[in-house]
Amino acid sequence: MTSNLAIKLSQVSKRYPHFNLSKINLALEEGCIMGLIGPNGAGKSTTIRLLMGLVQPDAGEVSVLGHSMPSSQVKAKWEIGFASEDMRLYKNATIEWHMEYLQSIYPSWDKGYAETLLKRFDLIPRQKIKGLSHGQRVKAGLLLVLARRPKLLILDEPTTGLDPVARHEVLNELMEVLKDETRSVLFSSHNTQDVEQLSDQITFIDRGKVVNSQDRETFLERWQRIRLDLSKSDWSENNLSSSQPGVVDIQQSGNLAVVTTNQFNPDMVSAYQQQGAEILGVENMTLEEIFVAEVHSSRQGAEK
Amino acid sequence: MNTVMIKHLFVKDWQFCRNALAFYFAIGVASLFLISVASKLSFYVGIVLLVSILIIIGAHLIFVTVVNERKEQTLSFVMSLPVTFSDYTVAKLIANIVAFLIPWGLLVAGVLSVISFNADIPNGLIPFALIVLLELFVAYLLVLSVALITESEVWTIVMTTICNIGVSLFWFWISSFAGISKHIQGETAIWNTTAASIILIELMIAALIIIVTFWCQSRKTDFL
Repeated sequence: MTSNLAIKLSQVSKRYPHFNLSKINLALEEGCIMGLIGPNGAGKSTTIRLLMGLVQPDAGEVSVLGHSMPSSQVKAKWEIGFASEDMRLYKNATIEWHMEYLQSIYPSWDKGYAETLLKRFDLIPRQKIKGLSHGQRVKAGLLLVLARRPKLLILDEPTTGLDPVARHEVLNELMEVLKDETRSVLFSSHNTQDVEQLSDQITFIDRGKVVNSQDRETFLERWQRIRLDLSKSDWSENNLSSSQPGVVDIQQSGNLAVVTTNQFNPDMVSAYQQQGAEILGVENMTLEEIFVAEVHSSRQGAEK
Repeated sequence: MNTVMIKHLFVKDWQFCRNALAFYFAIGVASLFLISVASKLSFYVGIVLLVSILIIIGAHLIFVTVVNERKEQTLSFVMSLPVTFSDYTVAKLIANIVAFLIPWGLLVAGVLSVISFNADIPNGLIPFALIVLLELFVAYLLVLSVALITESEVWTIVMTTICNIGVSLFWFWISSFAGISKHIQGETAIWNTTAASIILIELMIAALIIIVTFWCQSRKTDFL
């Protein structure tokens, strides 16, 4: 149901001379947080521009907070807080000027919260933007977005280039924001740690296509690595891969094999054991490992 | 039309330019003083200074409000606000035209007054002065249009240069019209068909530039 979706992209395509975004389907329910992960040039920023109405799709439909984009972008943008890594504030103006300017525009501007964020981010309101460090600029940008209390936050690479302390502060503030269960968030990153920490839904994007989109727990539960000792069995790599569904990678060295699966269930372990393999261990994978494996698998599939 | 947001964008641009405009206007007033002094050298220096300051005002406005906004990536900030690209275009045109016309209008009124009330300067110069000063406004609109449509700093610089070179060529060209040249040294301003036609054509070109700008901008589908 569109009315319960903060974001919906249906079969959205956008063609550029050297890049195509192909038939993207994406849905984010209200109150959820989606992390959009992809390598550089994967199509994350183009997807976000489509959502902001800055780019018109060649095909498909884009809906944000129930508003069709880009035709109803004005209505949608009143309720969206957007910040991107390549967005800059006016260098000769102060943080205070930016705050007052946005306060004059947005009736929802929360002055008290803005003051709180100023202190929390250790920002000086009368400081000009050109005198700020990169971390301070990002925090100032985030302040300007958060203090307007938007229903939907769209953040394009919000933590890129931040030092560990600034990144920690930004992530902490985002965690605070996310306590509001009515607020939806979409943020893109190639930092899987940030996404793993914040998101409850994760979408992998690569070469202009959505590779996979699921909730975080499903990703982490389904993607497992099984270490096998095959010395008491006569298995080869071929029958290892064909014996179980969801096997995406097998690394074999002598009698030792490591099977990576994206459809893990305990029955797999039993099945391997019944056929003579000794289970040396079942390991969880990090989101980064899952992402790399997903992209690798998707690219191999595309090349076949 | 999204008038509320267009007003906010207008106010923002005005706030960023008003101090520089006040400074340039003060120089413009100084040039009027030089024009009014009873000396040929002072008159010519004043004219050159006045024309230069009007060109600088135009270039400053276009580069600060349009070119730098894209170059310094503040356009993303603007487009994150509840505006469409059409709203952005309208706001840029209104802000720029108003911000240019205020000092231009005051300085043109000043020049025409100085010519009218200074016995050493022939009143026959008034139509020629108005045509030339109006051409500066048209050239400004042309550069603004190129900046908005091409979104390119290089093309804006190229068009600015062409227009600046064109100013002196335009003076020579206008002086070649018998209906203009034979009255320049006259005691009274002659608003004949030649002068009126040139002014009318200038106004029509200005209107055409604005229409073409809107048309080109409305056809764009990608803004960042």
